[in-house]
Amino acid sequence: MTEESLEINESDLLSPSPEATVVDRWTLSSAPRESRAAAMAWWPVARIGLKLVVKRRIFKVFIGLGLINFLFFSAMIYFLAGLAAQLKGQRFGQGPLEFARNFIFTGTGESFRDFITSQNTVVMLLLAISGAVLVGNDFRFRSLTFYLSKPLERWQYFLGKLVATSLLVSMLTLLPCLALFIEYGLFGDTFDYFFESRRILFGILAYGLLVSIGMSILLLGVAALLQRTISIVMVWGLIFIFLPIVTEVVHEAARSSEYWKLLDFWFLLQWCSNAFFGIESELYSGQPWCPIAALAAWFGAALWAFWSKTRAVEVVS
Amino acid sequence: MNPVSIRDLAKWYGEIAGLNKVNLELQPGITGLVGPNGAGKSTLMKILTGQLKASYGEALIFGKDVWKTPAARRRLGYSPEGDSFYEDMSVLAFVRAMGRLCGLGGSADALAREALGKTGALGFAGKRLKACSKGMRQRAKLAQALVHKPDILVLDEPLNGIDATGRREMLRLFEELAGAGATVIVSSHILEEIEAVTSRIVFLAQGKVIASGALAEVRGLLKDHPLKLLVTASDPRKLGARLLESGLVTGIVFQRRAGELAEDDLVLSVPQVESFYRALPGLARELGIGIDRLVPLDASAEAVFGYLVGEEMGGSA
Repeated sequence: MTEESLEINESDLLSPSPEATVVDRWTLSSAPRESRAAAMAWWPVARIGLKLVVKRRIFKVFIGLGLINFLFFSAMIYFLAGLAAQLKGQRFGQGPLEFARNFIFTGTGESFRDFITSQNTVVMLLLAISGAVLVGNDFRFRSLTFYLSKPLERWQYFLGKLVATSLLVSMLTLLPCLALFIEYGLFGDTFDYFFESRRILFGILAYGLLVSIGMSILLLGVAALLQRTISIVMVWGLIFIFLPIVTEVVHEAARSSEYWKLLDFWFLLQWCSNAFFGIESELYSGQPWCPIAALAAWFGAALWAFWSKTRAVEVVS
Repeated sequence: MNPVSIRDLAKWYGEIAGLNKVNLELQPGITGLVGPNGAGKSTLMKILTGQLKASYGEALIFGKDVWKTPAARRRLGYSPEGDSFYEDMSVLAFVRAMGRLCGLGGSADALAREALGKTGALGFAGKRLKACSKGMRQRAKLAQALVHKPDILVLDEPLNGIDATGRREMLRLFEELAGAGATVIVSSHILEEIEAVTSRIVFLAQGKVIASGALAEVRGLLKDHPLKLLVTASDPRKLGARLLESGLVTGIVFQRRAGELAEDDLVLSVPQVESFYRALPGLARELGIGIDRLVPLDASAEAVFGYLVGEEMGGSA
């Protein structure tokens, strides 16, 4: 066990101002400059959540795994850009170079969408095991009482947890994807790529935020409801593995209806990503409001679960 | 304006009344909250700390509704009964994090160290919570309630798990805080300890305040339970006869003195305590009897509470 090093100096301790009375010294209102703005009360909640996750070795492993994909693409962009510079003006090698470019990373909306989608698997696993640490334990071990007795509204507690989880997810999806976008643009012959690819940038931001925030909302609901890691993993598996298989099977069996697909959370994310990047797809030809409504239903259910458990502190033990 | 005002407070859990029309005005100083399990102590504390919404009535902190105005909780510190922490955190990190939740910014670290110093926890501030003993955890919990220097402290069973020396230290700390102008509300099932630091006690049973005020006043109001006094006198029989004759006592029991063959003590039933205390010295002088000892046998908080609960339940304890 490593223990936090502790050095205490007299100067570390706040000394009261000479004019302060004993009561003043014991009153927070006598030191308003020390206070954080009430509107930012959610930030310490997020900070605690992030610290809890980042401290554990298993999460470092998952984050490392999630970044392997990014490092590979990053290295390939660098390598192919270098190779292109070396082969400039030469006929020899242009064919294989173009093939490698198109095969590995094309810099189109599809490639960035596919990058985020490929990260989603690691994100799913990371969230499944971090749900209890981030949220579940607050309910299971009644740590919630420490939060709710502080000058903090329930929505600020929710927002803090949401920010912590979303930051974690965006570390694997949105941020590396943005880094790849910038890297790809910088290694081009000109900076025109950035101007020509505003839709791609929008797609990355929108899809990245949807994955980060959407999966976080879902996790908060599931973790608040189930609390234990094993239960969260099982339901997470149900949502992200079992349900897509079932909907696929049912969809195949009942060919007439596409609406079965709406139960598949992956499908909904994919549909949104295509919309964000402006990619035409034959995935779904029904009414566009249906996937949006289905996604809203998922989020609504998760928010309801979280809210009902936050209020459940009222139950007498 | 009183620091704590509780008006017509009621809390219903379905058809069960957790609290029923509770009215209290608490001033700076220590107030003991006494009651058996299920009396409504925890419910009252949870409402007072903004964790629970009252079904009816209001709990005000310096005139502000603690449920509707989370900012009012900046002036409040709460130490819950359960000790569910983030086990991987060090004691210092935990108290610091709780300070940040109270709105402390850059000064959180220094204030956390100060609070740990006050509760005698600075010596193990670097230790992880999972490695702490029950007593250490109690001190950490108390420190997190003190970290932002609140005006009001709500402490649910704060002495559980602390050794005798530690208890004395904690009680001294409560007295010091109360002396500095803080309003300290302490619930404990160890009534002697509460009694040692305050005479202001609120007795709760079945969700109702069955008595509140100075212990002696409450005891004096129990007409159906005359105070039992043990008297050691030079001539107990003569004194007993005179007391019965005067009507100052309603009953006398002779109790053989420990280690004596022929000496008795008197156990008197005194309905009007003040009249008795006024008259006794004159009577003793008149009879030429020396009084060596005068001890109330059932004026302790525990005995008073027993009588009160008995009366509340419609019988006699």
